[in-house]
Amino acid sequence: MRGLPGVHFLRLFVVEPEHDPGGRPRPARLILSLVFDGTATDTLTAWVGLAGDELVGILAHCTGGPPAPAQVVPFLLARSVRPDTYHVGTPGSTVSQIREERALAEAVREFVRCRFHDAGPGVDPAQVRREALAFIRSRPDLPQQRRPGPPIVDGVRQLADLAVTGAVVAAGVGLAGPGAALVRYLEATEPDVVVRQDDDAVARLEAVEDLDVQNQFTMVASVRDSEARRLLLRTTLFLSDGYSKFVANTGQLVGVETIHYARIHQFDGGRRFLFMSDFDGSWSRYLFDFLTTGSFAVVPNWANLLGCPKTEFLLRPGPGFSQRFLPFTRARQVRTDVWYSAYPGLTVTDIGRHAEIRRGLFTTDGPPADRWVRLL
Amino acid sequence: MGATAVTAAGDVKLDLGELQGLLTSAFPRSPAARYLLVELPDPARARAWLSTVIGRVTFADTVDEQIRGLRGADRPNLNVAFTAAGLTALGLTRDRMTDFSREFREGMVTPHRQRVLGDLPDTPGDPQRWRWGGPQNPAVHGVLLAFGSTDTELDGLCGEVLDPATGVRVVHAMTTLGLAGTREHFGFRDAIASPWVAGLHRPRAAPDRLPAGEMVLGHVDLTGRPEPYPSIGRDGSYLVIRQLAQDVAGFWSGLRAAVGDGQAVRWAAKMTGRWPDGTPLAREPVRPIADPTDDFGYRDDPDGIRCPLGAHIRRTNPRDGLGAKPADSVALVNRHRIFRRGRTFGTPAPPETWPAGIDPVLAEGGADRGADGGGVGGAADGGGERGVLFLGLGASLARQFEFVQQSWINNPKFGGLYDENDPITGSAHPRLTGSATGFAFTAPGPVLNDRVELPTKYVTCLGGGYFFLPGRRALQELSGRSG
Repeated sequence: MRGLPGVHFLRLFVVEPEHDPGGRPRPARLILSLVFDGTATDTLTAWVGLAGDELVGILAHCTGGPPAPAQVVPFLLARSVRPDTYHVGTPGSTVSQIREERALAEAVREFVRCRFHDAGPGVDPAQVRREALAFIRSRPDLPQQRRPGPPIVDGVRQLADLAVTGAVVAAGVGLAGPGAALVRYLEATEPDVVVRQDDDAVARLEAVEDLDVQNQFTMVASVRDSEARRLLLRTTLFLSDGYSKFVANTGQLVGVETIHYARIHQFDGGRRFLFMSDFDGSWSRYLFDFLTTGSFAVVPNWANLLGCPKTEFLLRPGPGFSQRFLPFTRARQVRTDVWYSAYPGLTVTDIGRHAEIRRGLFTTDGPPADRWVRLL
Repeated sequence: MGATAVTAAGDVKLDLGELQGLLTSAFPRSPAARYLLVELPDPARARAWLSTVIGRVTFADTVDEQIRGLRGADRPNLNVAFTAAGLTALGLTRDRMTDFSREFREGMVTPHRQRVLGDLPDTPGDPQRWRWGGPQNPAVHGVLLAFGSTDTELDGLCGEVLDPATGVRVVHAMTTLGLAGTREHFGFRDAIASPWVAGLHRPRAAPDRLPAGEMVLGHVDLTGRPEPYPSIGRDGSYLVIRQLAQDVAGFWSGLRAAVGDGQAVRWAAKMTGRWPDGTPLAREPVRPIADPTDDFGYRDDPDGIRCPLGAHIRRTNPRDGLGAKPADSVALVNRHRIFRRGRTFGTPAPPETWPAGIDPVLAEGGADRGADGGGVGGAADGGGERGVLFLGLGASLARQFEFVQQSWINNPKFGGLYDENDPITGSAHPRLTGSATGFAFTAPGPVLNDRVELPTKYVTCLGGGYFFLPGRRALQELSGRSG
């Protein structure tokens, strides 16, 4: 898998068949999720080159699965969807940059520890940095210059996105009053469904948690069964996506700095909700973040899910919310059968720090020398 | 029932007569303590035994009277707690057990919980090697926590409540030995920080004011609701016990070898976050000033220049230092506090242990502590084992004790650090910290970050368990007596 270029995180899992709240059958689904650099076509083509026959074998379980490796890419592209809400904790960092900056930072750290381990308080941080740079110049296997800037086209696309989101938000402001009344009506009249977690199921999920500083979380839940709720969810996801893109776009989501990638999809015509996250630290810490610093980004979306404890005006958790939120979320978590990370052992904070070490080493617009040496 | 109600902070009203005394006091006027882990006989005999014990249990109203009267107890204090297996042994049915938290019902040793707590297979703290509470040890159903003036007094109490005719069998006994100046065996003043809880303590201004439900089941916590609890759990609390051995000679010799005799105490203080006399480094990073205060924070020290980010007390209670907003940090940290009721065990380390700049640790009170009490410090070591018997109380094992252990103590990335965990109580974690046995610790120097690397960990868990400390009504119900 390490040979698969540009893939940050990959997961493959099965959503079991079930019946919707109206009693209609829902088929099983195989879901493949890739977070990657570059284009989907290039990434999938590279993967088929590495493991085409295996992919054919896996996809043979799907309706209309491709009979040969050559059909895998078109089959997957025809079924691919972009997330409705997408948050990136390490914006602008490619897999190769993250890996080579880890090697660079560890080499610099080791060099400075050995070279200056008995340095007194009079040591000049600028001198430390100059010597570190000279050392790195002797290591051609490591990066020798600043990070290349992001392609111009990215900036253009983001500006276009911003214009569209802004226009839609402006058009929606006039609906805020009736919208709030509708939300309160739903909150007051919908049944309060209490979901309990199954201990054995949780133990099976925990069996593959906390093996690394990174963890993953996949959740599938039914949306509360009304057109109004589906519309509300579409709205909150749209706003969340805009918030992640244009406000929380520096690596933090409302104060939570442990998320590498988080994304939400609606499927089954907006009747179901899929959440996937790759994050640092334990499940419990992540979920506590949802309930404290991160609740603003999470609660308005979760509130539209069947079994989620009730809110007031979508934003404010109702009485007893936190006590029921954790078991509900655990109960709706699904097993991630395959999970791959391109850089285990690295946190979002590590990745940002390594990028700063690189910037400070090769440029003058990075951290000043006295701050730079503290990053080591 | 003789209940003394204390009203504080508006709607909080606790009936102290319902709470066991350990919830409001560490029994500081009782220098001797003994913890007896017991196995219960069949349910009928176990209930009969418990019904005789209840009358000897010290409840918080009695403790309150002692505190108001500025006097010690006229007889030893006794508290009692049970494991999940113990509640079953008392006849509590399966459906009444399900509302207890999962971590309590499953116990301290499961493969995932071992990763959470740092009790990893094939490390010194592997539960397979434990003295008690591990898979190789006899079942533990309950613990009797006895606190008195002398060991002789405790002998009497234990003889009284553990008559062989009851069928209750002691599977492991642990005796504590207090150290002078409330220090722990490495030589540092301990047990300073403790949250202030409405209804349990006299009113005072404190940033870490907590509602009773953070510590006592059945009462409102910081969310405005109680933590989910079974009806029998009301006025009870979850109790964690961990027996932690400290290799004091190894700690100081390892540190002297790494940084030199003259710097050992300074580095140990950085690792602890306090000077040996309890002065917090956040308050006074240069020298101890005999100020063991609990009133300080880290908001002005985001880089850990005064108190290193990875220092033990900064990890276990980050106060206002998590993230960029001090008030948010305090609010978050307050959801993860516990009451600590730890005591030391084993004789103090011998005189040759101590580096320059720290007074040798001495036993409290001197000579009346019997054969395993050890008397004064400074005797030949004789290979004696020493450490702390950690007791922690709270309304949620997962949200409080386990969270602190996993996300703060054993987290190699805590506070933006790279590959180290708590230098005092963190566990060796080959995969996350890159070393099978040793550890590293980083402290910012004047210009560069200083780092010390030590070959091994010096604190090892010898045994542990999760218990439930019932309220008075629950004890009566468990014993088969109605209120």
